[in-house]
Amino acid sequence: MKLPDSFFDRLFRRVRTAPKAPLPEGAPQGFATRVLAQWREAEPRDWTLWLLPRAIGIATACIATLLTMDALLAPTGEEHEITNLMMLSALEVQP
Amino acid sequence: MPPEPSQLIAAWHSARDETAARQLIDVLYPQVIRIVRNHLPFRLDEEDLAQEVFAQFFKTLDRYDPALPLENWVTRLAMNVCLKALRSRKRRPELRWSDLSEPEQHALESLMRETDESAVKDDDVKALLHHLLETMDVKDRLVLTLLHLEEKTLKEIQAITGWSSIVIRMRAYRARGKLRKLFDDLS
Repeated sequence: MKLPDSFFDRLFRRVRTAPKAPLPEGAPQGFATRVLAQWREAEPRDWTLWLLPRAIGIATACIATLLTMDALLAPTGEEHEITNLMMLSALEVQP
Repeated sequence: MPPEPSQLIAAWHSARDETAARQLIDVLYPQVIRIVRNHLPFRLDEEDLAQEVFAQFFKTLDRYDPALPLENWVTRLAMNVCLKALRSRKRRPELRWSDLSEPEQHALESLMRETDESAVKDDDVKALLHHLLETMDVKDRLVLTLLHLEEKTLKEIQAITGWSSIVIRMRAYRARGKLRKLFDDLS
């Protein structure tokens, strides 16, 4: 399809000179709110402030678990005495 | 008296003042929309793209040098966002007659035959041009838009793109050649 030389000039001129929708004087309602929300979402977090409380919470939970397990698994008074007697007997048997 | 953009930017820098940010958006919105409209990928919402421009604006505002004109900086930023949006779209580097709608075909024939163009609607001619530009490489599309639609001078295009005037001229020449070839191959 062979084009006349003036084709592109007329095409661009037609689009350039066509009536355009008027430019708005300011941003539409709610636009700035959406922009700032998007900006906040993309902002890098202060990792110190984010991580520290969580790290403390996890550490506390671990310590509490360990203490609880220790308390549950620790020998009772009677068990302690039996263990001591067994040890003494073992020592007496020793040549 | 409304505050100057430089004062609003200073308020944002010092305290992330959101009131200042909102005023800044309001002041710059017409400029951003004008650029977005000229470089908008076909059928993309202009407000969505404008929102992306402003999100980038606040993200990179720390890098803005107040000694330079704000308008140029905003123009460059908006152009980059538009180009990124154009690049992300799948480009078909060829055009078939059947790709054009009937009104676009009618507009093309009318322009080719240099017949009475008033019978052809502006929207159909715009759609035809959009269709043609969508087949082009992003940089070729940009140079044609800046030169022939926005009638920017070489110096202005240099300021926007950072290209030398030789590069701009070569690119424009090659882009027109590609458009011409597009029509030569049209079937």
